[in-house]
Amino acid sequence: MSKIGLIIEREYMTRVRKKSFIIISLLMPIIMLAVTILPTLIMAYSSVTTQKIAVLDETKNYQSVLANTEEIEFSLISDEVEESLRATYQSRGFDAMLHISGVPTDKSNIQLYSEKTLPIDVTRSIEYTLRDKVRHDMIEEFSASSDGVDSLFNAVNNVRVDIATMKQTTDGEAKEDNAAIGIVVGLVAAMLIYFIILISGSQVFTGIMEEKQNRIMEVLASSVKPLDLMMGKIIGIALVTLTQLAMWGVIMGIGSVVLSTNFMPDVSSIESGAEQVAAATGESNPVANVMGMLGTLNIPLLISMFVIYCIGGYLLYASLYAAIAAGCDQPSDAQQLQMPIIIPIIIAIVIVSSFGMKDPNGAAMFWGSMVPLTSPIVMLARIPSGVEAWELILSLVLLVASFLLTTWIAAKIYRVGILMYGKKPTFKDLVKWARMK
Amino acid sequence: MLIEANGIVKAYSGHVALDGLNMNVKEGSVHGLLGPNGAGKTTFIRILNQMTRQDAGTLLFDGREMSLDDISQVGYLPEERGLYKKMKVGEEAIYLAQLRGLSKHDAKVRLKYWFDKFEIGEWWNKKVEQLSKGMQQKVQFIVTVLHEPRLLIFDEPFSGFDPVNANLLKEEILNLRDKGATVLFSTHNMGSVEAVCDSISLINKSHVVLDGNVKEIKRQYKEGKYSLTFQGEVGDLGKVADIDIISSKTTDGITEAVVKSATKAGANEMLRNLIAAVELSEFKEILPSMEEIFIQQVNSK
Repeated sequence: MSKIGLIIEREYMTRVRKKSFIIISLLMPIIMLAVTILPTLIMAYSSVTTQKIAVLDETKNYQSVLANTEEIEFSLISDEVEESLRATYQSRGFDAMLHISGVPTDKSNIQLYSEKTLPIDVTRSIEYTLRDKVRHDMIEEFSASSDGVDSLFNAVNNVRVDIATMKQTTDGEAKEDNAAIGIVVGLVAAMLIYFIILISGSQVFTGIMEEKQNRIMEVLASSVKPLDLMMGKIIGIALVTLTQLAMWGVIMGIGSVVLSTNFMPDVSSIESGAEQVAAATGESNPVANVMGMLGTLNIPLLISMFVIYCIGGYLLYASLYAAIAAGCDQPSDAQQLQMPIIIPIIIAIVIVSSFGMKDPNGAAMFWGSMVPLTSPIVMLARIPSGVEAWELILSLVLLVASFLLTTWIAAKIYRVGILMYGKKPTFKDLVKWARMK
Repeated sequence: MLIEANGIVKAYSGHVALDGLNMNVKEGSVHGLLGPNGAGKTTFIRILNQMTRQDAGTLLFDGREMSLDDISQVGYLPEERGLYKKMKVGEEAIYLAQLRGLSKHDAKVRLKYWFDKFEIGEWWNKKVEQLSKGMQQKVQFIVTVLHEPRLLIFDEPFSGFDPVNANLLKEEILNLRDKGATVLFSTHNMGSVEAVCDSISLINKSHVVLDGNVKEIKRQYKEGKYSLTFQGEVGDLGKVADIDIISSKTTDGITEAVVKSATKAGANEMLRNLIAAVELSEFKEILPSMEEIFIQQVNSK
């Protein structure tokens, strides 16, 4: 086995076998599931308040099926234009306004306006009721002479009603709700990358400093090329992090499937008997609903970019951490020297948290997503709200170029630094080491 | 010659660590690398280990320019040495042996032999941090020699060893030499130099100031010093020409003295002069210790 392989293996195995690794790998996803699902569950089971919904049905065809339930009280409004109702429904005591302007299978024909986000099962209940009405109409229009029962069956089966839930801000502006979910997903992804870079990066740092402190460095450096030593550690720790993420993914995946099948039927699956029951009783599955909303995002793009930016950002920062750690043999020296690395990460997170919600495509977010030291975090927050392809490509090219550059420089500093003892290095020293032949 | 270093120059920013160092080490010998702190020993060792490159000069290993590929034929026990504290002893030893190019299987077999020999076999599955310092050093020594390198470099190997283990180590070093290994031995401990080294190089201020066979060097630096025992008083020596008395002690009419010939006269001449004056019962030439030579060389330049 090549030497770098041996180093990667050791770095990986010693970490993965630690008790703390196993505990965090198991506990973290359970906590995360609890944190994301509990509020939804609590909301779902405690929301007995009745939602008053004003219905403006321009077709006059569908309003008749909207029957009041324990949760929803419909009021049919006629002889009024959409705009005026939208401006006044709140002051008239309604929680939301449903506007139907055509066959509701077309999303542009049906909108649900509200200031607060409605409980998701309210939306679902309306969707199922309308869907059944559309099906009913189709069967009524059916004449045996035309297409045949099979095609009718298929057509009926394919009917899907998806209400555009519009979040109405206080200034009257209406925005599709899913955009907000996109931003939240982006923020979560950005935070996750932030933690991964910070935690794995400092693992590289302490790993190297440990080797210097317990004086095994010189033994290693006399057997292995410094570049192998450095890259072996960086890659080994990267694999540990990926393993952990994979475990989280699998456990959370299994966890949410178990939760959605056990608590309530899965809405995103095609029609099933259970779902009909759910629709009829007005109950639905909060877990699956969140999943359903996430479904409107470009998940494959998000995941692949998450992985790419995560790895790129990690390599960039890990090599910087390695370069600085190589010169340190006292933890007290280390803290001061780490500051310049941590500052750009913090800047990134500040940009994301102050502009990510308000202005995901503004100047701060744009430049933040281009500069390699901040792009892994900032770009992730932008992706769900839509980024031009050229921006993505430029940002990635810059990221790759800069981590190649930092790795190259870090290797030079590392080579000299690991043999230096007893003196706290200054940044001038680091520059000098990098220029040494 | 296993190692031939010619005109090795290495400068760090602002200071010259080695300035035209020449050194030859014969295959199968123990060669001492002596010198005060900061003389450039560690720099030279690092160049030998290919951890850093010389700025100028040539370094031949077995007649060829030394390269990274030769590293597998070198075993290095640095002065600042340590182990991963959290790993198990056996695993760590195998890992370090593999880094030196041994296969996992070979490493295991050889480690078993050495662990038994050093009586630390039962520590195989313990964590390194549970070992005493002496045991850790045994492990480090084993890992250094395990891949049977042609060149062994020991930097202050005895520091931290108790006398019993230091002796064990010394014997192992001589054993390895007898099996054909060449040993480069860096130390401040002059006693151990006389005990194990065949030849030495004394480095001071970036230059080799003295090198060669230990016995020859001692002869070369002899000062005409003798110890003797005779019947009579110290005053009896007054009659002897060309003599300085360094110390003396008389008990029951028998005197032990250390004398020095002012003209560095040889043993025969000194003996002739002494016989003429006193009744000798013991006579011995005192050769300078390596320590004296070391101090003299370092201070004079």
